Amino acid sequence: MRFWIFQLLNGLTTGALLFFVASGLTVVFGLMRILNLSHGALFLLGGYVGLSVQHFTGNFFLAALAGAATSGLMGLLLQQTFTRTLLGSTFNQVLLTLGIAFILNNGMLAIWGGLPQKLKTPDFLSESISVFGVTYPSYRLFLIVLAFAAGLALWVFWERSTLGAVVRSCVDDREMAAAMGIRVDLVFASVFAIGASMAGLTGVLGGPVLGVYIGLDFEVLLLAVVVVVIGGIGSLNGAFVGSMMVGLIDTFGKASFPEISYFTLFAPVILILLLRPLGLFGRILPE
Amino acid sequence: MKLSQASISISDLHVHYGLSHVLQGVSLEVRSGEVTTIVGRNGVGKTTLINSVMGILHPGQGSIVLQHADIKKDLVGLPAYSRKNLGIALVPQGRRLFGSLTVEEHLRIVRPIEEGPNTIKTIFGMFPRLYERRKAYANTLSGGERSMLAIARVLVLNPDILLMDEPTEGLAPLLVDQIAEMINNLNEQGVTVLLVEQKLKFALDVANSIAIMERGKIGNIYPREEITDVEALSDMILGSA
Ligand SMILES: Nc1ncnc2c1ncn2[C@@H]1O[C@H](COP(=O)(O)OP(=O)(O)OP(=O)(O)O)[C@@H](O)[C@H]1O
Ligand SMILES: [Mg+2]
Repeated sequence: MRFWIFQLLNGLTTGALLFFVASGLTVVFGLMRILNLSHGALFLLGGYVGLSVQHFTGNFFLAALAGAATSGLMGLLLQQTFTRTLLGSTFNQVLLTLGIAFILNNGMLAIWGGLPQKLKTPDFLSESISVFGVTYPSYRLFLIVLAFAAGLALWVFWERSTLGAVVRSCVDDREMAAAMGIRVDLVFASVFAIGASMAGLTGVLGGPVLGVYIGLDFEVLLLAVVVVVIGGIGSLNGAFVGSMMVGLIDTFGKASFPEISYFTLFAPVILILLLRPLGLFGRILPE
Repeated sequence: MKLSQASISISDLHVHYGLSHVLQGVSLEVRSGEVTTIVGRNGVGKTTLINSVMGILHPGQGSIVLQHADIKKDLVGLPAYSRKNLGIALVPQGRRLFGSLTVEEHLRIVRPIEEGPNTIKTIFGMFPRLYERRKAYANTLSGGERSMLAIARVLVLNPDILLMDEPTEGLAPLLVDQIAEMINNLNEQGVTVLLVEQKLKFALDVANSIAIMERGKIGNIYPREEITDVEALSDMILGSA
């Protein structure tokens, strides 16, 4: 029993981290129809920047802030430089964003080297506490709580706020949104930058759990893409449910059948797509 | 009541879709305070023209000059969003509502730059049905409700120039008459209207002048008084190229 509770909490932790990464990926995909394959690299960039800032200042919050800011700015730079020419051609998007992912990957290897590293947990969350009869690190519990809080906040913003409605109008019909006076270009840039900075922040938040190493960028990207596909493109609800599912399946699969963990991950994914080709919460996007 | 002095002169406008040359030198005066109505057969380029004025399509040649109080400006090349601040709004063909927004959100996502007679409150007063459905998502509305919302969402902007592309498409006669009345009211408030319309009776009810569009060009333009009835207008369209 303890094993299962432990794995359940581990799965939720992975799901929490995935949600922060996948929500940006799916919203950008839904809004701009861009599948940004450099999203995993932006995640890792945040992690490395956070690592260095923590090394020099010892402060986890500064590290998180710096990681989020760096990835956000890098995302904004990519968006401003490339997306104008990318919009519309899926093939160009895949090639270009994957190319950027490799360039960033190599750049990080050059700067931070190939040894796996780890961020230190912030002091006040370094203890373990007892839940449901298992002793579990409080930092990981904090991540789970944070994911649920962030999921709720994002949902309220997206579904209930006027600014959220502005963003949704751009998803539905960007020409008409522009005709109503909405600066669609600014909406695109902001959403892309926020998605990127959430990825960077997650790189730091995940640093004490997953570590920071070259290759993690593509591992995270793969899982995030799986989340977007099963949750449904552009759906925040889908990203939340999908992240938790993928987190749990991946964790239980690796714990129970480590030799076939890709199978245990992808078999349910294929099943879901057979039953619901647009994903759990997907809809056909306009245009 | 406001008296805006907004007019648009379109001259020698050319628009291409890839290789097809859809507008081939369109010229038209949309005079201040008037309702100018474009009629013409399907596919002659009416929507292309009105979307070019809105900045959704970009003409390869020609000018669209807005004269508005002291401002005189060529709109060609300006992005679509700039129209709002210039007082131009569009009710597009096919409504093009935002499916994932509620009725109320359609009115909340825009803020007029200048206060005007219309606010969300007065608009819900004008359209009680929309008020009842304010929490409904646009993709659940009926055809009539959709048309009302397409008009309501631009009235919040308090436009000086209103572009309307077949606002009565698919509507029951009673609702068509209501929309005619609404256009006449707006016009009395000084709003300049450029209307594209297939329903000829409706066109005659609201127009000050009627322009007949032929393939890629504007043909004859008649003051309203010169057209006796629907049949006469229908003959003019059939006689056009
Ligand atoms: N996106 C497009 N790509 C290529 N051709 C187009 C496009 N949109 C319209 N056309 C063509 O341009 C011509 C003019 O179209 P437009 O929609 O302006 O006509 P319309 O006069 O508004 O017709 P209707 O009365 O049916 O609304 C048509 O022949 C149409 O097939
Ligand atoms: Mg048309």
